[in-house]
Amino acid sequence: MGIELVNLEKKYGDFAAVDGLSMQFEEKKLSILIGPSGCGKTTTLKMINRLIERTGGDILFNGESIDTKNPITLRRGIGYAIQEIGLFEHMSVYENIAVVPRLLKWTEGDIRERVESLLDLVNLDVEETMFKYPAQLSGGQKQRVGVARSLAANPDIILMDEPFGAIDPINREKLQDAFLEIQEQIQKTILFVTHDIREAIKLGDRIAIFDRGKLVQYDDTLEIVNNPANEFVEDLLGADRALKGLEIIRVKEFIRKGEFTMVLLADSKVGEAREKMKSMGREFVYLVNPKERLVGYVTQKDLLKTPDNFLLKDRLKPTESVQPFSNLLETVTRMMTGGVTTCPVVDAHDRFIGVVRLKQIFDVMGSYQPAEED
Amino acid sequence: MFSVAGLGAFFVERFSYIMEKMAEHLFIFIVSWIAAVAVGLLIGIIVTRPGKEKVGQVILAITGAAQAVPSIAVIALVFLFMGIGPLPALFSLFLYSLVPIVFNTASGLLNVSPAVKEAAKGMGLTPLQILFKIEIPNSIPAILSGVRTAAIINIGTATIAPAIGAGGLGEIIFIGLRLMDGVRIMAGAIPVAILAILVDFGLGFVERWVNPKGLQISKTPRT
Repeated sequence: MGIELVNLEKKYGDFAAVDGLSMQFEEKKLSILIGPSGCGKTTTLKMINRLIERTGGDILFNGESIDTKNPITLRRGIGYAIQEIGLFEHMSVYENIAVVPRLLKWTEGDIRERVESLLDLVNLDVEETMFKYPAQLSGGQKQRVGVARSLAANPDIILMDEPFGAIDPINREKLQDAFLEIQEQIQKTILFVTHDIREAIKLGDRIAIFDRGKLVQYDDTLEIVNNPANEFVEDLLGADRALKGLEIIRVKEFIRKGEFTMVLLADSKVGEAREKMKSMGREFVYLVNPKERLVGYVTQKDLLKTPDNFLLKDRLKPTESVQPFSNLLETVTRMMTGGVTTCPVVDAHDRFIGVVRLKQIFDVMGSYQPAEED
Repeated sequence: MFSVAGLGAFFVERFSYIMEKMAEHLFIFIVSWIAAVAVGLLIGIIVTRPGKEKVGQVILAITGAAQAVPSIAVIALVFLFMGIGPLPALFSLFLYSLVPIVFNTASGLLNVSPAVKEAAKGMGLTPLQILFKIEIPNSIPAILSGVRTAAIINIGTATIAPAIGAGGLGEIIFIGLRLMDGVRIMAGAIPVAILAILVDFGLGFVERWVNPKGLQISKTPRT
């Protein structure tokens, strides 16, 4: 369901928290609302499920004003997750997730099925977690339950107010990764409030930047990183925005396929590798085992003074690798660690797919130069 | 002046008299207590509804201070306006035990975290559903401990009800005091004490049984 804000306004006395806001949130996209505190992002979010009543303008769901439904019915059709989570301590995980389905009079069988599939979706062990109480869960687990609860009645729209804000950085990364995968599966219209620009770039399909109740820039994430509308947006993105841009690009678009490997057998000799590299015209070769799993690499230089009849496996060097879903920033980091300019790409079972080169990544970064230097 | 044998004899001889006074005592206690629970819960809930949080805070302050007023003072005041008899006694006990119930109910409800209430509202619960499904279950431990305190206070305070002519086990004690008769004093005091202990124990059991399991866990540190 698409959401359209028409000249939306919220005034507290003379102060306009949201000042004539008109924009559209696209269906099945994750749209980020970001800006400094007091910019109106949370107020905007809460006007959509009418936790805050607007003082002017309108909000349209598929062209229909939200006033056509009573607030209770409206809210039951919109998922809602907040930073403080607000799990009901006296209810088990199961009952917490079941709240809205029960209000909507689902059968207990349907609810059970739903709870199980949701816990699975947010990567919690169903049997172990289902009948625990919130007090028995860690912060990260609670937040996952909070996300599952917001998805419970399968709403088209989900509103999230800094849902990962209170989680420690390591677990936040994990939750964000998990959340991206979830969104890939469920394809909901998600409005996500955050003040963390890294989170915005990582998660958002589109980013709306707010300042003092007004929209400063609203565009696809790449476009925002590439072409900040003004100084305010540039400051928000920070000095390292070229690097941040790398974080949203996946390796899978940059995989070079071709002849990069040779099979390493128990009795493979150094001479064979030298021949192979000569025939491929390369300085190095990746070695895979007979099951195509990457085991390491050798370079011509390493083998320079080694007699032909030495066993190749004794000359093997371990290698860093990335997966198609890894982002370019991660890839560059791996290359720096390994001191290499080419990094092998493997699948989830360590099977060799191709390589990604540092030069390609630099080419991408080139397009992130500030406009005035073009 | 006092002997165990004498006490035993008194119990046997005056058994029906003691039971009669026990029944009066129980009646005064139970009626005033139930009325206080019903009215106290209602007041506690009403003053904490959204938008009335300020009123709730004021009520909390008043009831908090009122808990320090001695019970005999309340009885004396009620006597001034209503005279003597069972009704003024009932009313003063009701008034006195109202205080911990309102205090605990209001503080329990006000202590439910705003995030929990916001989540509930955002999920589409009606105000009544939020009250009955979320706020009250979360406040049950506080509410029950108020109800339990009120019961113990009432049993104890009902002992001085005879001061305004309301009967009860206190009557036996009062007569004993006037006659300097240790046996009579004990014959009144022992049943009151047993009653108080039994009710306290019973309500403690109910508390453990009724308190939501999830809340009992949160009070014990996680291992």
